[in-house]
Amino acid sequence: MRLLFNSYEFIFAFLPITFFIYFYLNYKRLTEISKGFLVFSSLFFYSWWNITYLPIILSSMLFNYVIGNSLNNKESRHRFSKKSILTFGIISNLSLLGYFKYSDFMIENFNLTFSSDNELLNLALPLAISFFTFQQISYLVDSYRCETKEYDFLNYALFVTFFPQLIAGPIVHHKEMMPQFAQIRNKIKNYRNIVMGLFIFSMGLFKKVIIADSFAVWATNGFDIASTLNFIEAWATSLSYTFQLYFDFSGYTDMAIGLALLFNIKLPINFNSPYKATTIQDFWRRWHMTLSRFLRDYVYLPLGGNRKGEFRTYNNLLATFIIGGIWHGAGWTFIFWGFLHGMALVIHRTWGKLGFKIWAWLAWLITFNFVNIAWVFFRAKEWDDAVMVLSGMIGLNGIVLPERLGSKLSFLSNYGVEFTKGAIYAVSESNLVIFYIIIAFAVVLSLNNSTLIIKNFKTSNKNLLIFIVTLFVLATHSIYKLGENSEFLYFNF
Amino acid sequence: MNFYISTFNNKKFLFLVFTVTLLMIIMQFLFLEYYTREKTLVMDPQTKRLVEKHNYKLALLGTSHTNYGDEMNKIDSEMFNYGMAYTYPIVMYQKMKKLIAFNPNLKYLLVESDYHQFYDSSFTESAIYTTYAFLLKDIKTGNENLFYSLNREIAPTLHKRIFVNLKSRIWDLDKSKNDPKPYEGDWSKVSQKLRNKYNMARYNSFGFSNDSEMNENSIDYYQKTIELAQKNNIKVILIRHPQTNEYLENMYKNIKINVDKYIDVLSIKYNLWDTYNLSFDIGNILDEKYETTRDYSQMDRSYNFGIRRSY
Repeated sequence: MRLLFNSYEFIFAFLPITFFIYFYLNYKRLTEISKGFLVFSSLFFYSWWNITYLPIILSSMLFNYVIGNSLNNKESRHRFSKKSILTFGIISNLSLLGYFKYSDFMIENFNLTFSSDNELLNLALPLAISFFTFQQISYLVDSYRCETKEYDFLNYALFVTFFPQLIAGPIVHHKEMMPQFAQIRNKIKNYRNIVMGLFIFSMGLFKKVIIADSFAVWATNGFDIASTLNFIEAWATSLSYTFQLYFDFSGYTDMAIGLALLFNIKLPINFNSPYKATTIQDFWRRWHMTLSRFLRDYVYLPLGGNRKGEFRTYNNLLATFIIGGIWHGAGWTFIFWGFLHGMALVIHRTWGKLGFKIWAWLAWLITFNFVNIAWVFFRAKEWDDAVMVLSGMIGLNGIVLPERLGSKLSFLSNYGVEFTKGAIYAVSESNLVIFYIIIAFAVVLSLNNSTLIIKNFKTSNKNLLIFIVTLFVLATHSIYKLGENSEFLYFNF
Repeated sequence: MNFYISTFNNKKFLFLVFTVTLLMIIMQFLFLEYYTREKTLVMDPQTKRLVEKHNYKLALLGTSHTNYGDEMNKIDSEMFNYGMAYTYPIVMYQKMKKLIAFNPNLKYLLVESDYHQFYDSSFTESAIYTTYAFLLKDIKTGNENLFYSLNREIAPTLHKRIFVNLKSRIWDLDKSKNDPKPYEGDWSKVSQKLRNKYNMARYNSFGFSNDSEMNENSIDYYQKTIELAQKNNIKVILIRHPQTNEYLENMYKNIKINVDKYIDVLSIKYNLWDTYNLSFDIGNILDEKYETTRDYSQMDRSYNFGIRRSY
């Protein structure tokens, strides 16, 4: 069982105990011990799921710390060049990730290509391995560039394991974390941060348990249970997943940001209303921003970025996004999803060069629909699932509309449109899914995102009311769903 | 305290948030406890009828399949239909106890033997405990809780029940809305594809699959019910109700074989009367007009609405 942010064990036991002991130790001026305690708590949080993976994260940290220090040390002379050490460090990290995450994928493809029958390893993916590996690779590269300072191991361990961001990011950079851990004033309880932290944590929890988990049921019905989907069902399925993913992951990020604020740590923002984007480039400046930053700084730019001519730029874009796709999961559907986004960026760049302009609403429509369609590949477990949803979306399985529209739109019958009850039955027995989708559109397109909410936060009557209502709805919902808690989607990546 | 000032001190803000929320949660909790005791644990209308009148010779036990399916046959004027949604074996056993206690003249008992009686949903379905909490409260289900509204089985449906209850009260006040609605649905117009889809949804709702196994607790209570009846000299007949062709023909093989084999074993073990098997398409005997999608979407049984139209 994982110690999830939305579990009772986390909210009512782990978090308050960690919070009070951490600040008590700081109050007693035992700052190093308090830091050690926070590392211990984070590792406890990590191990709750499966303690057998604890040695992996510990050895990974130790290894990268040693390599990082040897890269960072300007005076010492090594037998090997810094570049060789960096290469060794990166290959070791990627090998660890590759072994756990991609072994079975490679064996499957090898078997398929050579008609062999090698057994799969069926390894369980250690929690957070994708995140802590990327985070530490960036640390090694920056150490090579002499952009890091000489941190002690405790600070480094805290940078890697700090529990709010350990499992699913944001992917933090040492430059934005280490100074915060060192600041004395961050060791004192700050009520403003506590208020903001709890407020944003509640918002994230609301997004996850009330919104994302509702969409999850409909997305699962459409993707995993239905054998065919008509036009409306297919769109309801894809949009359900599009919103599920956003509210799930941004909800998680809000909770992480809120938790970190309780400890006076500001995590980088990860979402900036991505579904408001009017170009695909704009989308990637708003969606999973810390991953985009990592891919830009440690993949795209080292490949040459846009400095080596148009053709190389396009290749670099494609390569970066295919790597992004593989990072999300070991499967051809993920690779294809990355490829689609890479291609979209290439087209966008070419379009920009030609100097054409279109209306903002049309640009939004194209961007949103592209993202929505690409998520179908991201979500589908098999190609067939993606084909089923997409063929429904373009009307290949027939267009079925609710019976009550029959009298108003009867002329559509001439074009093969059917009118029947249960037009959306494969996704949901009621029309609630349509209502939720409309509300979700309104929320993502018109409301302020968490970043703006934190920026402009005031302890006002309005926020008091929002806070109380949110907590009350969450408490009521927790009775309704007594004992259940669902995982966050990005835990699997 | 002036509640209209624009900003609060952070500590005061936190204090207010948690105090007000906590008060609201406590108030809600008290309301839920009151509601659960007043509404959920009251005796259902059938049991009330049983307690008031006790000279039935024939009784029917089972789920909604029994409740709606057997009305059609009008087997006997002295028949008491104790079938109702979620009357799975564990509830049957409790109802059997009531039948014996309040109806000493009972001679014959028709017990539902439809497929869904023996699978996981027949024991874990949360609604069993909600609907029949008053029958089940004296037996151990493994889900007891000091507070009824926090019972793991009751809690998930509680808010929905309150909402439905309130809605029905408001609805009843507006008498004009009680006028009969025109019949909209038409069974014959439902495409085969949609019928198959509805059918699959029913299998899913019962948790049927190729590797479903019969639930041991349900089997245990099913046998206990038969034994209790026989101990009181009541003749037991196992009965299967009308279902649609889709439901019968597409039923998972393992389920078909397991249940039929089990019924045979029971018939021999308890020397039961021949099983009365009504395996034919409901669509052939019922009026084809239905009011809502729900009426023809449940392929495993008829609806009270359809029955009323036929007779």
